[in-house]
Amino acid sequence: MIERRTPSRRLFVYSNYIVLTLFAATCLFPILHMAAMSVSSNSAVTAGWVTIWPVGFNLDSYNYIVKNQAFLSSIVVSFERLLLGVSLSLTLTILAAYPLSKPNLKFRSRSVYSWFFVVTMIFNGGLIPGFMVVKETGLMDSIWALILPTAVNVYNIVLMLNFFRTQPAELEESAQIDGAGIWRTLWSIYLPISKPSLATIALFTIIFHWNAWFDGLIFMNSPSNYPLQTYLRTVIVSHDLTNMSANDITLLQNISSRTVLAAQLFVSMLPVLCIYPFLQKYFVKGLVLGSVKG
Amino acid sequence: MTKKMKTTPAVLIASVLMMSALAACGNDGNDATNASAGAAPSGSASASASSAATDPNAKFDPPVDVKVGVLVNDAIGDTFTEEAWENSVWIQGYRDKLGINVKPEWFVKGADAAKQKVSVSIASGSIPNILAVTKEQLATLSKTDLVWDMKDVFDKYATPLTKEIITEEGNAALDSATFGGKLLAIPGTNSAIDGAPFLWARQDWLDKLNLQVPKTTDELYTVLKAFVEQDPDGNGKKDTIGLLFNKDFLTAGVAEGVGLFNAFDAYPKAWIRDASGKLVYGSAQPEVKDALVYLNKLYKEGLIEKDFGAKDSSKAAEAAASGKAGINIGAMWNGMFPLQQTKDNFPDSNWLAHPIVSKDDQPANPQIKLNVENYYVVSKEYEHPEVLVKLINFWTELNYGKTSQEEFDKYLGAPPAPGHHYAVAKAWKAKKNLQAHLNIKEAFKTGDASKLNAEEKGYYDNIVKFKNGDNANAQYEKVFGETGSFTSMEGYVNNNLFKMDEFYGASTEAMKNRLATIDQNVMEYFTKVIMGADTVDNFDKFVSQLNKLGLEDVTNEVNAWDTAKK
Amino acid sequence: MQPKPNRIRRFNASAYHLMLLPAVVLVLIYSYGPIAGIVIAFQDFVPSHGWYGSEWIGLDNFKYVFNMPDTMQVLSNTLLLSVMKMIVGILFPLTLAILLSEIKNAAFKRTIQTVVYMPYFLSWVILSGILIDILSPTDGIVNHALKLFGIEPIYFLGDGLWFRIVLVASHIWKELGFDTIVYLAAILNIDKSLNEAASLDGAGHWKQMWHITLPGMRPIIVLLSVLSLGNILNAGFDQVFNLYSPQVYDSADILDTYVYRLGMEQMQYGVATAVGLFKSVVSFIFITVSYFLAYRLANYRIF
Repeated sequence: MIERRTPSRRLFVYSNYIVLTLFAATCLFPILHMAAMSVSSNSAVTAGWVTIWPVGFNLDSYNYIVKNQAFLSSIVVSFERLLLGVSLSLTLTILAAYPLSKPNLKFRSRSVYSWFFVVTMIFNGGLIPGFMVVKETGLMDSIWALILPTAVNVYNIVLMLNFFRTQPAELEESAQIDGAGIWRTLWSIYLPISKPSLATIALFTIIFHWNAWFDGLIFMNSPSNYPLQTYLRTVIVSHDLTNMSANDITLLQNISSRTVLAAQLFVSMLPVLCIYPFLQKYFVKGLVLGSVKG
Repeated sequence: MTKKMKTTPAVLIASVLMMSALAACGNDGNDATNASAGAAPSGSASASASSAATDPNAKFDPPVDVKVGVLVNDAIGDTFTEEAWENSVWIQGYRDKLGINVKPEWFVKGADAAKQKVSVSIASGSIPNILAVTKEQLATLSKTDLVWDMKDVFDKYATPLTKEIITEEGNAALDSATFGGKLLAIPGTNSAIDGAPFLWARQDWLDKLNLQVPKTTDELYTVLKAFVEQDPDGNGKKDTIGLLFNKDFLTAGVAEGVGLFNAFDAYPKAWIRDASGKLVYGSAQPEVKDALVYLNKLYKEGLIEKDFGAKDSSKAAEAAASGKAGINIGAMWNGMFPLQQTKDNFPDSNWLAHPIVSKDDQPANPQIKLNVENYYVVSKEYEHPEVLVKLINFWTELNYGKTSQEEFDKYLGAPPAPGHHYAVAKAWKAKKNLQAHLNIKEAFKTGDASKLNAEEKGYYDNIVKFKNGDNANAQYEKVFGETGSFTSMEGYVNNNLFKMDEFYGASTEAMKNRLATIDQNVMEYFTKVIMGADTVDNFDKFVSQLNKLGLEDVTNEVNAWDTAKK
Repeated sequence: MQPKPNRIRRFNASAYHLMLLPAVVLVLIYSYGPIAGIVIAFQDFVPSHGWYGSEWIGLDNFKYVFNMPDTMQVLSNTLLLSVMKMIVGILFPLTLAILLSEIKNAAFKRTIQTVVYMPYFLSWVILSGILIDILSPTDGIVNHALKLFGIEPIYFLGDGLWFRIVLVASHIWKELGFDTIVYLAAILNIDKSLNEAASLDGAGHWKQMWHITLPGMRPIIVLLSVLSLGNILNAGFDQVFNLYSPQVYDSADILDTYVYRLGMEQMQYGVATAVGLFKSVVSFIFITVSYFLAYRLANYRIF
C-alpha cells in the first residue's frame, strides 16, 4: 500500500497520536490520583496539592490498612470466592455449552434446553424471592451463597457455544471414528483449542466475582464473611451515627481518612489490574468471536 | 437515608437529629421527669416487694439463650470485631447478672446495610429473637404477626426507672410503638430536647464591636450587618460573613435555618395544630413567609454566603473553623463540633450559645420532635419476651440507677470499656445531658465533684482542664459548663418553650410516597425565594402545588391518625 | 452401516443430557425458584403469611404503581439515561476505533488499548469511591482545578443535571475501551484492496474513511445498536446506586433503584415485584423485537 505523506496527512497522524495519548491519560488520571493520594500526607490531600504525584510521601495509610482486620479478612474471602466460583463456573459453562453447540439433528432436545436457559436472561424473581431461595437451601452466611446462585451464566454459555460451533464438524467425526467417546472428544479435542474463549470467560468470571458486592451484603451474616467489595461499600457510603455522646466525637475523628480510603481502593484494584493485560490478547479474540458482551 | 456520599462529621451528627421523630405534649408536667438519677427505687429488694409474683430483676435460672441481630454502628466500624463483641463486658454482664446468654444471629455494619439486612429478614419472615428496627420497619411488622405484643410484659417486668425513662417526655414514645392497641415494640427513647436549635455567637466579636447578644430578629440583623461590615476579626479586610447557612437549612443540626423560622412562629417540616385544632404541615403555613422575607433580606445584603446553595452543613461550618463567621444557628452540641475548631485555630475566640431570637418581645419556641432511636421487637417464636425488658432494665439501672463508679466505668467509661454501642438494648434519658450540666454547675458552685456520675465526672474533669488553660477541652465548657449551651436549654425547659412536632406515628401510606417529593419542592421554593429568584407573592400558588403533589392526602392521613389516637 | 449412527446418536443424547444436568439443576433452583416468587406481584404480600397466605389482589399493585407520580418520572429518567448512554456508547467507541486503526505503531496502539480497557475491569463500588472523591465540591481535585480558573465549585453529584452528565461520562469512561474491541475488529475486516484502489484514484484519508470505512462498518453498527435496544430499561443499577443520594432522586432515580427502594426501604414487596415484573415484560418485548431486527438486518442469531 502506498502511503502518501502529504502535510495534512502528517498533521493528522501527529494530532492523532496526541489525541489518543490525552485520551488515555484522562482514563488513567483518576486511578493515578488515587494511588498518589494513598501515599501522600493527609494535610496535602486536604489542601488539594496532590494530583498524580505524591506530596509528603508516607506509607501511613498502608500501615493502617494492613492492620485492619476487616479489610484483610475480606480479601481472603474474595480470593476464596474467586477460586471456587471461577472453577465451578468454567466447568458448568463448558459442560452446558458443548451439547448446546450441536445441531438439532444430533441433539433433539437442544432447543428445549436453549429456551430453558434463555428465559432466565429475561425474567428474574428479584431480591426477596432470591433471598428466600438461598435461605431455604441453607446457604446463608456460607461462601456458597455467593457462588451457586450465579454459577450458571447464560451469556458465557452462549459465548462458548458460539465458539464451539465455529469448529468444523469433521473435528468431532474424526475423533469418534477413532473411537473417542463424547466426554473424551470434549476433553482432548475441543478443550485444547478453546483457550481464547476459555480465557475470555475466565476473565469475565474473575471480574464478576471480584467486583460483586451486593450479594455479600444480603447473604452474609457477619462482616467477617464480607467479600472485599462489600467491605469497601461499607467504608465508602455515609456514616450514620444514631446517638451523640462526647465519646462518639472522639470516635468520629478516627473514621478513615481520605488517604486510607484511597489506599484501600487502590489495593482492591491491583489484582484485576495485574491480570487483564496478560489476558488482553485472548479476550479481544474471544470477544470478537462471540460478539456478545458479558 | 441512603446517602451515598461519604459525609463529614457535621452531617453525621446532624443525621442523629434527623432520625428523631416527634414527641407528644410539650408539657413536662409529668412529675417523674425531674427525678434525678437514682431517685427511682429499682433495687431488687424494693421491686420484688412491689410485685411478689414477678421480680423484674430476677436472674434466669437456668440461663436462657437469646439471639439478636447486631447492628454495628459506623462510629465503631473500623475497630469492631465479632470476638470483641461476644467477649465484651456487656455480654458477660447479661450472662452473669441476668442469666441471659446473648448470641448473635447476624452482624451487620453500617446504617445502609443494616436497613437492607433488617428489610430482608422481615420479608423472609424470619427475624432474630430480638431486633432493633426503624419506625418504617415497625409499621411493616405491624401488618404481620411476627412479633410479640409487649404491653403486659412491659407492665410486669419494666422497673419503675425504665418506665420513667421511656415515658419521660410523655406517652408519645409508647404510642408510636402501639398499633391497634398492641404494643409491638419497646421504644429505645432518646432525647428530643437535645435536638433544639440555639443561637451561637462569637462573644469576642460582640464585645469588640460593643454589641449586645441579639434577642430579636431586628437585633440579629444589626449584629450580622456589623459582623460583615465592621471587620470584627481586625485583619483589615472585609472577609467575614454574617450567618452560617447551608443548603439543607431545614435540617436541624449546624448552620441551619430552622431556629430562624421558629423566630417567626414558623415550624417547617413539623406537624402543628392550627386554630381549629387540626394538624397542618408547618412548611406550608403563611408564617414561613416572614422568615423567607427576612432571609432574603440577609441574602441580598450579603449577610449570608452567596453560594450557600452549594454548601452542605460541614462545608458551611468551615467558615466557623477559619474564623470568618460570628453567628451560627444549631444544636447544643455545636460547641463540640464544629465550633471547637474555631478555638483550635483562634485561641481568643469565644463561642457562646443563647436562646434563639424572636420576631417580637415574646420568646420564640424552638421546635423539636419525638426522638426514638430504635424500636426493639421480640419475635413471636421466642418464648421469653421478658428478656428484652430485662436487658433494658439492665441498661437503665447501669446508667441512671444506683450504680457504683467502677461498675459504670467498666461498661461506659473511657476505653478499654466498650461503650454504649455494644449494649443490646438501650433507652436514653431525655434530660441526661441537661442533668449532667446541672450537676456539673452545682459541683463547681460547691466545689464538690464527688456526687457526679462517671460520665459527668469526665466532662467535669475536662472543664477543669480547660479552665487551667487547655483550649482543646473548651468544647466541654461550651456545652456542659456554667456558660454552656445547656444554660439556655434549662431556660427552654423551665419556660416550657418547646414546640413539639405533633405527629409521631409511623409514616402513613401517602407520607411514604409523597413527603420526600413535597419536601424537595419546599426546599426548592424556599431556596429560590431566599436567593431572590422567586417571591413570597407566589406562596399561595406554591401551597396549592404542594397539595397537588399530595400534601392534602398526607394531611388527611395525619389527621386520621390523630383522631384514631384519641 | 445403517444401525451404527443410530446407536451413536442415542448414546450421544444421554451424555449430552448428563452434561447439562448440573447447570439445569442450578438454574432450576436459583433462577426458576425466585421466578416463582413473581406471584407476589399479584398479592398484598405480608411477610409472615408467605406466598400461600397473602391475599390475592389481582392487578392492584400495578394500578397503584401507575398512579404514583414518581413512576412516570422514574420511567422517563430510565429511558433518557439509557438512550443517552446508547448514543454516546456508539459514537465514542466508533471514533476511538477509527483513530486507533490509523495508528501504525503496534506498541503504542497496544498500550493505548490496555489503558482504556482498564476502568472496565473495576467495580462500580471502586469507581464510585473514586468519583465521589474527585468530584467532591469541597475538596475534590476537579473542583480544585476549576477554582484555578475562577470557576465556582460545582456539586457534581448533588445537582440533577450534573449528576446525569456524570452518569453518562463515567459510563463511557468505564465501557469505552471494551466497546471499541468489536468496532476495531470490524475495521480490520474491511477489504484493504478497496482502500488501495481508492488511494490510487487519489482519494484522501478522510474521503476513504467516509466512503469506505464507515459504510463497511454499517452492519456492525446497526447490529450493536439494535441489540442494545434490549437493554433499554437497564440504565445501570450498580452505577446509579453507588453514586446517587436523595437530593438527586428526581433526576437520577431509575427503575432498578426505584424497585430497590420500594422493596428494601419502604418494604412494599408486592409493589416492588410488580414494577420488576413490568420491567421484565417490557424488556422481553424489546429483546424479542431487537433480535428479530438483528436477524432481519444483519442475519444475526443468538443460537
